[in-house]
Amino acid sequence: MSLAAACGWTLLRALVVAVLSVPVCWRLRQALSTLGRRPRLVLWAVLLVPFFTPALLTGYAYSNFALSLVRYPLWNEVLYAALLGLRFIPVGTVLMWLAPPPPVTAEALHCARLSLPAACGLLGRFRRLAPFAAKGPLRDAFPAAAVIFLLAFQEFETASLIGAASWTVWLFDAQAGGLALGETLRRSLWPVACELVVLAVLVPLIIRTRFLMAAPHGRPARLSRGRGAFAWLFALIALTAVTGLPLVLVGGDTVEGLRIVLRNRRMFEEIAVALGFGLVAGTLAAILAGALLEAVSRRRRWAVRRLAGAGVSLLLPGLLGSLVVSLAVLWLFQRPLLRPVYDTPMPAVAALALFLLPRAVLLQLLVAAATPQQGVHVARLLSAAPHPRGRGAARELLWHLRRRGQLLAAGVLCVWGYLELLPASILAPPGMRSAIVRLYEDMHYGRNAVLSTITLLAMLAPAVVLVLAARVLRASASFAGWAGRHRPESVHST
Amino acid sequence: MLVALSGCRSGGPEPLVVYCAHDSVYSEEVLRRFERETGIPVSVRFDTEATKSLGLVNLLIAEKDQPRCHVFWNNLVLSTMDLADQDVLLPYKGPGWERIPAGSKDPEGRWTGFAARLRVYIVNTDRMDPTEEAIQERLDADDLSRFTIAKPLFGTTLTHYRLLWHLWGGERLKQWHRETRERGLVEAASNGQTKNLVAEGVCDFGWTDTDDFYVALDDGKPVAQVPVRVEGGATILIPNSVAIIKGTRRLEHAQRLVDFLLSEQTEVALSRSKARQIPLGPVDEAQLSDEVRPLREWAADGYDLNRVGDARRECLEWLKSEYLQ
Repeated sequence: MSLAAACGWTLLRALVVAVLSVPVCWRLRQALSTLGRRPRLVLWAVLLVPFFTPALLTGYAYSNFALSLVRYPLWNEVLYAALLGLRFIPVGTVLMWLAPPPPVTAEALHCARLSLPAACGLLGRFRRLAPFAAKGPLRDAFPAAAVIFLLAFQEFETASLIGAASWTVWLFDAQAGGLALGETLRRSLWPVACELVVLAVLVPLIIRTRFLMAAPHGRPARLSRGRGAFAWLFALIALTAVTGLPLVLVGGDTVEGLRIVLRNRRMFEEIAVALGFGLVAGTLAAILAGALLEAVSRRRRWAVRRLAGAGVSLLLPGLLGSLVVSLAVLWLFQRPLLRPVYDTPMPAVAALALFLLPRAVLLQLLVAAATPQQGVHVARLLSAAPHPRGRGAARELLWHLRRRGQLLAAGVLCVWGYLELLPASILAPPGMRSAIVRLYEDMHYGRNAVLSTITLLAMLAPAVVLVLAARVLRASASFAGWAGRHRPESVHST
Repeated sequence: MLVALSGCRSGGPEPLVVYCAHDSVYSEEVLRRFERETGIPVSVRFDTEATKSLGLVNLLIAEKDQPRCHVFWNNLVLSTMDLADQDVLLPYKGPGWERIPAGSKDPEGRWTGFAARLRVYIVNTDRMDPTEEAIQERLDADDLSRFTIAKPLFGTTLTHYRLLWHLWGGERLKQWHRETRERGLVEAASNGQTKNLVAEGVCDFGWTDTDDFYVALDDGKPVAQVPVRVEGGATILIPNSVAIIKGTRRLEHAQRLVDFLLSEQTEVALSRSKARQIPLGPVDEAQLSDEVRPLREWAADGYDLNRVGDARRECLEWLKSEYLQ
């Protein structure tokens, strides 16, 4: 298959997945908005697990099944598209949940429809209703559809492991197979152009509607039982197909392989390398995102705004996907100025951080939106209280209200950085092979006990690190409270 | 943290950079043993399974003026010959080179072969008889949808195609390539995937290498192997090869690694690995397994790949025009 065909096929698939996902996102949002706090949290958790499930795990688990479909490419395509939809629909739902209400409500659109003359033809109806729809339901749906499109269009790991046609796989194989970098970049222009078209509409829309900063949708009063059941059913199907079944398939092999794997010191070194990449890049992206948002929020200072403008343009590479970022960074670090650091982990870390940056900004906005500002204000006032116990409690409360969310977001970024394959594969220096790169390479041999065990251990490693980090942070929160209680009175009075 | 990530060693020798196209599951153990025995640290860059060897070969050509790599362990000898043509390799005729028979090394010492694989048909024994006659009958049939090969742009399938180009001529190979696809041939991403397709019964037979075949056999799959034979009954023997990169600053350590890889000890170790690679130099036969001894007999019929000549480049150019557009 030529690159043009692979690109066209990926485009068509991403469009179909995005369009079909929108009604599902709508229904999920409706269902979520009618639930009480606790069941809603449970449904959110169940919905989001597939998105956070490593694509390598899903692809590896389904690779053997996909082989059996080698003579039925259409069914393989259906399998891949379904996996993409089940993984990315929750992201669309999050975006719809957070979107501000459109200026034209569904009721207003209905009234407009009723007000049409009876003799109005199809074209006339379209002409009259399109402007309302564009400011109503379409405005609501577009960010979700666009992000699902971008995620599906950029996907690499699952496509590669189950043999689906994709421009990312074509370009990666061609580049790894020796296509000159300049030529690879030149050929990536068409897919990049497709992404830019979507981004050109998406970004201004998000800025104009003050996404995440305006009040979210109102809550519908009631929902039919069928729609609620649909939401739970969808969540359970996605959880089973994207996470549960792969874990069972891969986990079933591990008993046999565990004994051999635990003696493999090299594997632990490679996991450490991947964790290092993830940690450095995730932290860097979180810091950069914080600085960017801080600069953007200070509107009055001209220089800061110029800097922020430049910083915001840093978001673009990450929005184009990790393959494009990695190739661009590879080109950059082969220039004479940066050539001296080409053989260091810096290019891989830079590419990872750039890829994570848009996600870091989104996560920080989410954290800010979820933080009760009045509570923070009250806790701040309380932290100046004369009573040491009150001060301690206030500092602990402040930590919980502000820092906990930010640290959780940074943790998520580090895990994404850990799991991201392409920057480490294309840019890591010799002797620094990440566990994820090794897994991807070995997964082409097919499933076996040892590989399944390594896969499971590699996937669990960031979870173990996160749990340990959470314990340390909890202890540090208690320490913040203790420090507040024992702080001298004079400091608080200033 | 970045410094820590870069693996900088305080004190100790600078690592020997090895580009390795051989599967890491087999090669890593050998390289670690070299580290343990010599105290010379080794830093390895591996190739991807799908683009076996070609990625590293192109990287070495791209880095020719500023080489980062000291030793190249390739699992495809034809692409090492390409590097010799491009003046990337440094001649070295050490004790390891002396040990290997003439047909498996460069007379000028720019590269030396060792521990080989064979191209074989992997046959699902639940679906067909593992005989040359049964295979030929299937290959002559109109429907080839139960036959699978890897994409010939990379790996040993590329070597296979280059040899066929040399033996048949370009036009005949192009015609065969076109016809087999029209008859429904299943093209996989790699030899590993070809092996999986046959082992799982999705296809009945296919081209692969002995090391991939043994992975399926060890997994208890119903498979057997039959050597691929070309004109005159010759088999296709594909040795590993090792070469020192011109411009290396670590010549002494590079030479030690080359001799280590070309030693009887390494060849025997690789023959005992799950890949069952075939020693090319003289070894104590008693140390070889019952599975490897018959492979040595097939290997004795191996076609001399030194004779492939210009077909290497011409075939690759054609395949690039077929697959990279």
